[in-house]
Amino acid sequence: MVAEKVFTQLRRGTLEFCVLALLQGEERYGFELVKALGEVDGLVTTEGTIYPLLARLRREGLVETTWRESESGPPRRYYRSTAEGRRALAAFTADWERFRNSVDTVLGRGRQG
Amino acid sequence: MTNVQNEADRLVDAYLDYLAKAADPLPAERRTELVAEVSAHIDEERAAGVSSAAEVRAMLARLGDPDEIVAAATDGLVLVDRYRPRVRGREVVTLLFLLFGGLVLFFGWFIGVYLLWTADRWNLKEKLLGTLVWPFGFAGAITFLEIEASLPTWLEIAIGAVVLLAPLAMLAVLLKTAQPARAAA
Repeated sequence: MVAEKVFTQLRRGTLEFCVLALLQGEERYGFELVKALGEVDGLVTTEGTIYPLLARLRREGLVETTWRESESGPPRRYYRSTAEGRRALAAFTADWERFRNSVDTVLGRGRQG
Repeated sequence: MTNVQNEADRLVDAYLDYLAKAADPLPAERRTELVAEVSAHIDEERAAGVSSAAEVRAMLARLGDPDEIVAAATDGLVLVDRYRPRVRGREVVTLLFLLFGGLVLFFGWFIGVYLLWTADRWNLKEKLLGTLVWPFGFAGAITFLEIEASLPTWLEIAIGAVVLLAPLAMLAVLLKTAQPARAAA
């Protein structure tokens, strides 16, 4: 199915900004983040792929991490957005809104036409 | 109950083993980290109540195919080959020994030949070219040109030019064709 492929690509491209959005002004550990994303319909198909994504965001300096003790079990790695991450998210959000509106407009036109 | 526990542990171990193997192409540090993160995720799930074999299976299915996870980790790395330098110090040394090794030390050329044939950057044809143009490099070329022959001056100049330029052409070809993993080292 063509649409499925498109959404795989869309997911891949947008997920990192969803991750950044969840990390604004709030720090979360990996598992928590994965579960939060998993609760949103259709966003995450394979939870495990979030971890490489987080590692990449960290390498790119968009998120930073700290290890914190947990009440149960081993220490957890907490992620939070950096200032650069916030800027990247703001830029993406603006572009995304424009893009979404454009697509909606054209699709709406198709439906009426 | 113990058996159920074992089955769940076995599934998790098999999954993590497979992930570690699949992650083999990643740089060591990233591989270790990825396996540790996924392993921590599984521990969190199990601490939160995932215990039966069926629950563990469902959890691993949600995590996804290890190959897919590794593919996500290599997203930024797919161009790794392109970033591997085509010509490293080793190749430069090889070519210098091939061309000038014979001039500096007689056996220097042999070092160049050895390095050439053990290199992974060139295929068989290129290795033959590097060896045969010319044996002993410039030393060979100069020795050849010193052979007395009664030829017209213009012909001597032409032959001299070809003999001396050929190694430079060889050099250009080998520099241009050098690619990581063109031949098994």
